[in-house]
Amino acid sequence: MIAFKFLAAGAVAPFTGFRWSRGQWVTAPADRSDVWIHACRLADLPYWLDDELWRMELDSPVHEARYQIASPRGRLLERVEAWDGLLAVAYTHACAWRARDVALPQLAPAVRDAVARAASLEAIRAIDVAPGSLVGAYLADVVKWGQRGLPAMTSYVSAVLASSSGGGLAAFESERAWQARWLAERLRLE
Amino acid sequence: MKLSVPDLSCRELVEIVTDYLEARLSVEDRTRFELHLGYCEWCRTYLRQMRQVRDATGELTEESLAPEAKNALLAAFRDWKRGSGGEKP
Repeated sequence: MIAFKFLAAGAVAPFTGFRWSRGQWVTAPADRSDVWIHACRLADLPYWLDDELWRMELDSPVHEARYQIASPRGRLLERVEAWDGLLAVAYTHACAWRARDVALPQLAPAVRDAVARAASLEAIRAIDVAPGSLVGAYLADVVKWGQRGLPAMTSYVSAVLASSSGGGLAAFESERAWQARWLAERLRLE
Repeated sequence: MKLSVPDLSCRELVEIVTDYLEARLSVEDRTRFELHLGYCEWCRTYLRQMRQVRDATGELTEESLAPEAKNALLAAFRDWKRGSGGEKP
């Protein structure tokens, strides 16, 4: 099965520190599914963002879980070069602006117009969007992380913001699905 | 009742980091742990530090300690027990 994997710079697994080599099969114990090799379907991409994105091949069996897939054997095929610093910034900003749109109807009337008119994240940052409002507080966080260019944090808080207006997990996952479509489109992944 | 977002707080992560490092978490808890790491740079740094501590202390044996280092450690622990709390000037 062809899947995707985010890695830290230098093809290093972000949590274990394992260094991957392109093309080389890596094997985990077949009877220890808790330590199998994890990878992403397209829909899983926003949950696992990191410096490098790789296309990878997973051997059978492949276990499909809610936010990732896992297999006892896998290898890196090639790096998806389109995922770079520029695209990460574009993604971060896209998430922040979408969070602004989701938040707008729930902001206090006194700040809603100013936020709607803001032409930059900096302009939103200058507005006190959070007086007594949870959604406003999340929006302030999204804008802060967006300005700092942190794609994983910005997109995560954007999804939490979407979930906070009563939709819970369904709204969170729906926002993540929007983010996954954005990434797949821009990275031309299928 | 609506399901909540699958996540841990930073505090919860700190409480189970040892179980994570020793592969004692269920697959579900491990996934929640790593989903949190996916966006939280601070907890990634913490995990890295904990792994370094574990690796370093794993190499330490009583025999490998120089006598001066052993005595200094014993003295520090004795002071600590008396309630002085930590390093002395």
